[in-house]
Amino acid sequence: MSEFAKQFKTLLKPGFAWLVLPAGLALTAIGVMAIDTVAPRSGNIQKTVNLPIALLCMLLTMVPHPRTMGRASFLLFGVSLGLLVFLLVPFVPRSIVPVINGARSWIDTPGMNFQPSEMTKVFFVLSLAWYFRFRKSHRSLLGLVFPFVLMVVPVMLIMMQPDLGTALVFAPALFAVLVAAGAKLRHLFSLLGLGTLLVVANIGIILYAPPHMQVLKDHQQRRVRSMIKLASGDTSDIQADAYQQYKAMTLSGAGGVWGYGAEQSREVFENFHLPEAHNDMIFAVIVNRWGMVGGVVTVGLYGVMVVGFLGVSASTRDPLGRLSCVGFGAMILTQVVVNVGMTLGILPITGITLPLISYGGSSLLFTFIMLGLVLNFASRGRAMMARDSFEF
Amino acid sequence: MRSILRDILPSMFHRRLLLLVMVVLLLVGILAAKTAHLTTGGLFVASQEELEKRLRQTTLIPTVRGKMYDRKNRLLAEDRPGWDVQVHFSVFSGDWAFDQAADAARRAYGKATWKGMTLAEKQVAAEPFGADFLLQINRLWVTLAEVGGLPPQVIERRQRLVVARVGRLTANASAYARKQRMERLNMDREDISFTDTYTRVREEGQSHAILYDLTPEQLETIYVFVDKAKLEEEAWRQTVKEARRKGEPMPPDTRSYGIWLMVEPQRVNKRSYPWESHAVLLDRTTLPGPMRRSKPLEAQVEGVARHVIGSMRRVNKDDRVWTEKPYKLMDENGDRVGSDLAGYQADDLIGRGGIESSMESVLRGSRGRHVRRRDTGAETTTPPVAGHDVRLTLDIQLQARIQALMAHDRRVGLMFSQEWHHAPDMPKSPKPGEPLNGAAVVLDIDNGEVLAAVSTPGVTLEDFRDASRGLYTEHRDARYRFRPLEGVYDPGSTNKPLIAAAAITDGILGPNEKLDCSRGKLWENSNAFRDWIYRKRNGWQTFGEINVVQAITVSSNVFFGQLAQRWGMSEFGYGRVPWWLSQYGMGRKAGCGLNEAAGTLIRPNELEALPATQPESTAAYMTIGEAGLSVTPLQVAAAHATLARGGLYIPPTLVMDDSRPGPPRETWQLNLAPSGRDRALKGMDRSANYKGTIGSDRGTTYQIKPQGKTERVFNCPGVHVYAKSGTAQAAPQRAVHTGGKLNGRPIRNVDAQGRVTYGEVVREGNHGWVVALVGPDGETLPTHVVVVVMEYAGSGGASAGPVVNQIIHALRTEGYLGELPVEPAIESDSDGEAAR
Repeated sequence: MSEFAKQFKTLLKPGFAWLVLPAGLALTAIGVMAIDTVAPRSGNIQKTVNLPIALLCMLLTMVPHPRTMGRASFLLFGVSLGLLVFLLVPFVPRSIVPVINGARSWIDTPGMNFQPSEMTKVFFVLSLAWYFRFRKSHRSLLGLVFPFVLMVVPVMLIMMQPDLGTALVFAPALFAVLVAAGAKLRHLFSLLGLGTLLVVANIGIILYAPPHMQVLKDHQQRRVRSMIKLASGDTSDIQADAYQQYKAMTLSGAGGVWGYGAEQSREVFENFHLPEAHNDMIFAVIVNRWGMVGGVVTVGLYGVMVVGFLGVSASTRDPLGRLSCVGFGAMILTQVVVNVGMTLGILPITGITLPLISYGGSSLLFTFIMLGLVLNFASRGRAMMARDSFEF
Repeated sequence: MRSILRDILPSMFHRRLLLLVMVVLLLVGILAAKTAHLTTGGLFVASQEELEKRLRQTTLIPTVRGKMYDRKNRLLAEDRPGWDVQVHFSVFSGDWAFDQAADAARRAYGKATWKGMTLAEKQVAAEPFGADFLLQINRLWVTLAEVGGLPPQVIERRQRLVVARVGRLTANASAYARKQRMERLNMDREDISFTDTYTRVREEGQSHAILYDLTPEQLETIYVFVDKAKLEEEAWRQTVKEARRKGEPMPPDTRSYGIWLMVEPQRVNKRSYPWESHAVLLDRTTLPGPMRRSKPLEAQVEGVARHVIGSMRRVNKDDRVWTEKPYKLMDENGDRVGSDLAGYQADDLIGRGGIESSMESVLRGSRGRHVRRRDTGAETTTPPVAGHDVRLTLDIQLQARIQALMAHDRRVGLMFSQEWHHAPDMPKSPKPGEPLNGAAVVLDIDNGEVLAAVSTPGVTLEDFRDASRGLYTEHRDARYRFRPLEGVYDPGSTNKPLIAAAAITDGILGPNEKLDCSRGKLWENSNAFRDWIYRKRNGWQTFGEINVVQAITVSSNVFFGQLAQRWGMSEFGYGRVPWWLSQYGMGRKAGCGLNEAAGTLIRPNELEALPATQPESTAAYMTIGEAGLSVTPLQVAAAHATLARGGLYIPPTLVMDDSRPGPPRETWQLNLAPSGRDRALKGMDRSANYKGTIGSDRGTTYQIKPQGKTERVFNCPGVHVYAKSGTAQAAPQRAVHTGGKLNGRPIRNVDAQGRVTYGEVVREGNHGWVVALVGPDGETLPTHVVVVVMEYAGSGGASAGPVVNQIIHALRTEGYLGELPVEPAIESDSDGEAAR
């Protein structure tokens, strides 16, 4: 029996993979239908081009042995960092690196615009997991330095594009991996406290400090201010900075419990234009079309999928698989929280896709690659001689 | 707890995963809860309402403003579609010429050379080409003036006004941007210049009207030029394209109509005023000698009844309706809750002045609305409600005729100062030959309807359209002021017939009782209150012992001063004088339908409370209209109409009762004694018609002496005139300074210490009044009141008398005073000298 058939057989046994794949496919189906509601042309591309490619890649990523991937992880992470640097090289013609929405985040390749940061996310987690595999240095504060450096490099490069949304998912992924890898909680919570303090201080600076003392960029400050205004019921900014968020909230809210349904929702979006409705704002489409039920089901499916990731992590003994599943789950959850949070008005607007649902080739492709990797880990039987890792 | 967990899950890794699972569930729970919160309850309702609003495609259907008619149903104002000509702002500013010059230079130098030049080099290179294009702009203005039938100065003025208006908007926007930047960057004023924050306003990229209300012929002419320009442009493009295709050098630019591409006829809904400009044929054979001509004058009157009718303008945020009756209805939180179809929003038209403004709510109507659901396609329509028509009491033909008579037109000459107006004392200003300002009111005694109300100088639509800002800051002639209703003057001796009737009614004077006026003055020790005849130059003459009819005839001050004293000594007290004047309608607004001044009138109790001898002196002066009150010509007309009616006060009106909103006019009865009215009218009759026997007993409105030749003031055959003149002392008119220099020094009304200073005297002397009650010969009572006041014109009889006489002729011509007589042959051996 070939290795792949054995893997397939393992996957057929009840396990957490049963949560991951159906949830992922259900979310993808929701995404295709939602995109179809607001941008039929994009929906068509998503289901006829992006989705088949992504599914194929998912299957392909299930083939190589995790150890092979682990060995290649640093190299691939380096390649993705190289691509991130390439995006920032001046004088690269726009035909190769187009500027979309003010960001140099894509490389124009035949078929689709390829987003190196999406690739970086996958290999960052794999590299991190490969790095922590048999270590216990992260049990000390000093041992946290290297992982942080590993995170800061891609984050800085992505911030320079600028793409704050994608950059945001790295820190939670590292945090979750460190939690799972057995880093001391008091260290982590200290760092989390520090981070929270920084966020609170920044909001304070945005709201109360004079202009010359501001840290964030002007448009970022405005987004935070407009979000706070909107949350406090002040609609004075709805024609300016709060425009997109106000519309997203209105469209979501109007969906009610059961939503408008496909036809009426299409009419609604035609006449109440929401920028990036098929992309970053896709959750508003879901809630408008399927109402609260659709929204809660979608969020629930993400919960199921991420719990599935953690379940796979729990059930595998391969340390690479254990940490990778946690890292991927944290990344996906962060994306969901930020994306849904900004649509619902509890977080400021930032450009971030809803995994598996938003329109976009790179996002869909690398999320399915994550799924493929998780399934790969799930499909490997328990190594007989493997010792338990991350037990301190 | 921790140990229990360790027992259940001995693996630390699994315990950590459990922690992460809990975090996942918590976050998912928060997102699910927020989704539920947003899609249910109040937020759901608010969101759905907001969305439903967006799903409705609303088109407003314009309403039609009510029409305006005169008393004979002649159309004065109506809405109708029309055409304006607009020109792009770049032509107004001259930028078009510079842009075109730069294009021409670029073609001449070639694209590559041009690209390599600096901005300064480009400017130098473009300069020689600019002159042609500037010339094209000048030609455009001249052509537009010719097409529009306007003097080039009018086009120039409109051009300047557009540039100034847009300049102001740009300056405001730039200043605001500067302020914003200063606040944002926490910088000082000096750190940011206006150039740094120059803000382009929308109006700089738009076209602006330069010609209004084009006739079809004018429109056709404009289109001929525009079409030529389009054809020429198309041909030029083809030539350039061809040259590029063949790789040939760029052909020379032969376009000469290019600027017409910046001209755009614009269809607009117009408020049309058919009587704005009207030709009147004036018979000049009855004018005073120096002005008399045998040849009738065809006068073109501009702005007929413009003060009364008003005009239209765009509503702005300073208007009360902007906040009180907005189109968009908001709740206390500033959220929109609906629309008032009759409400106002930006760019709506609103009445400016006159009936257009005062009856805005009646005329405006309410727009309609067509709503189409975008998702379902369902349509609902609320039809517009047209505004109500308004009928005025004016006779527009009579109004035009009187405006022609009272125009500053030397071919008529009535509104110019003459030496004989002032004899013997001439004021420094107005000098003979200088224009006079004034007002006239013609009132129907039966019902208080105003047939004509004229203010000189008047205003035209053109004034409002192009220079309303200047109009309202020009105080020397105050053309904006509608003098019949807003001009406030001491009434002078026109009060005397009113006082006479009141005194007889109160019984303080017998109808035939004589009073001794032989002292020539009211008080022994003072010449302040005396008869006009009691002067050194008249040899200290007096009127002797006279009755009330004689007193009105000769306008004795002392006689009426004694009446005040009698009131003071009677049970009524001095306060009875202002009480009576108030009953005649003085010192109060009549509610005639337009904005009007109330004037001033001391209250009876206030008069009584004055110290020492002031009640007596004030009451005495009030009887001769020189203190304690100031009135409008309309009030004087209404008071004399009340006298003619025997005491029934009917508030004068400019709007027919069937068009007036609200309750009917409130009338009241003064119950004048019949003998009182009889004696007052008799006095006025004699004032107009009694030549006298000894000179000093002649009626004050009997004759004038233009250039030494005596002639009757009133010479309209078939009409009986009862008249009273008034020559009211007035404070000199002083200049209101709005800047500028006088004798090299800046002039202001406030000095450096903030004290009010006074401008130089512009006009001085007395206001001249004449009130005439007129009716056809044979009628027992007069049918109409004519009131004329001439500002700083001198003697009432001499200055206002001839104007009243001409108005009586006009009334007769318009058929108000009986059958027209057969036209007498005009004897005109010698025309009078030209009026100065």
